[in-house]
Amino acid sequence: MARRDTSVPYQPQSRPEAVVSDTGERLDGRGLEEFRSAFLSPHALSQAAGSAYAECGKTKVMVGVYGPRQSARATAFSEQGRVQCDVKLASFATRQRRRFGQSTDERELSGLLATALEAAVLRHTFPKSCIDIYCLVLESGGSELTVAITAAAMAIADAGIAMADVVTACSVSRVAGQLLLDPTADEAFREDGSVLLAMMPAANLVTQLVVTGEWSSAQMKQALCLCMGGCLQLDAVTRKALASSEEQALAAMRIE
Amino acid sequence: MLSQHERHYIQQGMAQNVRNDGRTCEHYRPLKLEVGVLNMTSGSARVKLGGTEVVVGVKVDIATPSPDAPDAGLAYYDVEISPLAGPEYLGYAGSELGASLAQRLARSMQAGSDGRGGAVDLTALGIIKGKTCWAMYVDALVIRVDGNVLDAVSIAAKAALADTKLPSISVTEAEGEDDEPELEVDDDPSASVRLETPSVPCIVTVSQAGRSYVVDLCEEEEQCVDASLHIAVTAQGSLRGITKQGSSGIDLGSLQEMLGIAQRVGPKLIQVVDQHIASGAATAQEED
Amino acid sequence: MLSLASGSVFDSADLVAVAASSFDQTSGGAPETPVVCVGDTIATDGQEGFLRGHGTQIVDGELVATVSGAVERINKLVSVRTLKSRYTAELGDVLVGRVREISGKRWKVDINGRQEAVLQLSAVNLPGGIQRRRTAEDELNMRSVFQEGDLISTEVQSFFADGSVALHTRSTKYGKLKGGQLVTVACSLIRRQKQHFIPLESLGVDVILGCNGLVWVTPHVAGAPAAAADQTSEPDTDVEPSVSAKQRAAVCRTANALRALGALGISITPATIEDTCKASIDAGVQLHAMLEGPFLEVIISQETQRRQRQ
Repeated sequence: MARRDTSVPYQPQSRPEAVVSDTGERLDGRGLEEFRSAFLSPHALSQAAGSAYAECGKTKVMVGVYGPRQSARATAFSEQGRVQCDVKLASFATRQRRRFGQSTDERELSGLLATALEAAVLRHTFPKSCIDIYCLVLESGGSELTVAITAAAMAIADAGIAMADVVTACSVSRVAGQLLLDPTADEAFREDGSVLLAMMPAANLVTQLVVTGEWSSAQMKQALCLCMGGCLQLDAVTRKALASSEEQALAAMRIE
Repeated sequence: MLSQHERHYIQQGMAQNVRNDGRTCEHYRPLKLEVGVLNMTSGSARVKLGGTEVVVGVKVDIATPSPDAPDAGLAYYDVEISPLAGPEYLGYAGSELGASLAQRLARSMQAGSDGRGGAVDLTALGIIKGKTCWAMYVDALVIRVDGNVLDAVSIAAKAALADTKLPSISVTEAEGEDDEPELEVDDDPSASVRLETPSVPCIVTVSQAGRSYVVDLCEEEEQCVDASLHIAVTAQGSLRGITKQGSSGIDLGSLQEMLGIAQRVGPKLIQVVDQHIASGAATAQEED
Repeated sequence: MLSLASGSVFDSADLVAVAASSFDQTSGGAPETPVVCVGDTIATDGQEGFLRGHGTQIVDGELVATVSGAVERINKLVSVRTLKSRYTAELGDVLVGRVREISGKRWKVDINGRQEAVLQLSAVNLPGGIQRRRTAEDELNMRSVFQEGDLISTEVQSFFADGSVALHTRSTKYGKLKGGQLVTVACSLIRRQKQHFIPLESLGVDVILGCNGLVWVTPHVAGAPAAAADQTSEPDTDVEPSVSAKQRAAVCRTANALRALGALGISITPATIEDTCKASIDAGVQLHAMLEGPFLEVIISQETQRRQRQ
């Protein structure tokens, strides 16, 4: 019986060479500073305390939040509740099939996600307890972590867990000297530098920053500016989705 | 967790053929099915059976055929329970459940050692005899558990397989003796070939509670039955793989009845599934 | 500019949204209570010395929402109430809970909420009358009164220092639940009211509306209020009540009505339960079909008409 691991993907990773045209148009027709079309919705899973589903271009992420519940680990009385994150990519999420079982990059994503969210969650409101955030990437079309962060913050808010602010995240890829906002997988493949920014927009605080590649301070500033603008746009959309979910629940429930 | 009183009430309900949600013993919950939901796959489906929700993606890779079946391809079935279904599925408990579901699903699709006679004709996955073939991975991901996960997984797998298209491959024969034949994969989606799936079964789980036989248990009902048979049935009503579950024994008379129920209910279920697949495909075509 | 896609393959028709948009048309669109989102500043202009309530915090002297929900102003107390949060017990709440564990002289009860709940041996009516002393034998026989998994109707008696809930079943109407089925809904759909033990004679059922969202439905027993298992008799009367097919169908109809109302996010009151059941009978809907699209639309349009009349 042929061992699974030795199979070869039927297409070599033939990613497009050029991702931006001379006229500044990207492969999917976007401008350099344009977002992909986004779908964000809270309350996607009825079994979880809170949940959200987000779709940006070809990236699909579902997040479920459980808790607050008594910490499984017997820790000494803690003034602050714990936030645990678990990110998994489905085996069919990427071009090449992934094996089941948590890989190192999933562990890293979980850690980065936790940091992005912890600053926003008011952990003193659930001492001795923990909240579990489970993030499933159903399809990986680029910028999975940014979509996961935004969706997870929405899911936590959907669970009614106290937060200082929502968190939105945005990333930028540098390809051939140009900065591309909200990169697709093909674009990220060609990058020589990247910036990921997560922030609490109303509080104007950065909760996560991941930078790769070599950056001049001028270009870094430009990238950060671009990201912040992106985060603010996402913020408006996130708030609207959360508020209308609550309004709908009120409207459905109201009995004179 | 249920009290013994709730359990009694449910079992009495099964005996009276009025279950807690008003279904009869042979009734399936409402089924929602969509195909073609994932982009990075050769075929995919999403199924909701009552509250149970499953997503299946089919991916294909190029592999070396087994020496016992040189002209056939390979098929692998995997099931994973996402922690989205609940923290209790994280870790060992979830992976154990996933593994047993995968084994039952694989059994229902199983081909002979020569690659023939399976639910999917594996010779359709062969490319170059003895050298190259398609390896097909059918991965099921359970997003929500509300009973009868296995039947939902099998329905989703069937739909995903019906949605699966294999890339068109052209083989150029080797020129010299030592040269390898050349493979060219046509990436054009319209050139791909749909997988033939007339014999793919659906698993109908029939459970015994006292003298009653019940299908499509919801989560609380699963705690009220003695033993279950997972019976894979084709559209024609023939059986294609059976597994027993549960610690109680099943007498021969009950066994016959349960098989009969599966053969009665199975084809009807497959009809509904096929209708959903067809309407899903029609919608996809409209959008194109 | 970021554009929001209209829908996605993975998006399921949100029933609550459908219901809400139908009802909104009757009230003229604008929500009566302002809804804020996490991080929004809450207007407190002109209000001196406001008190900060649940769901808010003070940032740079301003009141900011920490959850999404409706702003409530009661005298000087400003808070944000979210419908989504877990059940939080209040004194006197009538609940349906599930016994999880027996430890020492107490049962640990899951009330599906934020707090842990405990039912002490001293807070339960024991066989042989109300006033007798708890003996060591009672402690060993706790399982014969309530065992792990049992559903009980109970009331919130008090709170411990750590916030956990002390329950009691010191009334004949409380106790172990048998001969019926449990439906769980969002606790926000069940208002605190005078009566939580509701006989619905016209439907042939008795209903216990737990403030924690757990609702128990049994066939109607003549003579109010709906009584739980008779606690004053010996504990080994674990005879299961017999339920006829007709009674079972009545219980099922009510339970499905509860599920349907829960799915649509409509408040659960004796009136809405009765209306939904009657609508299903009038429409000739089969019991199991009450949870399917067509009948849910019937409920929505019926409720829309009801609200228009007001």
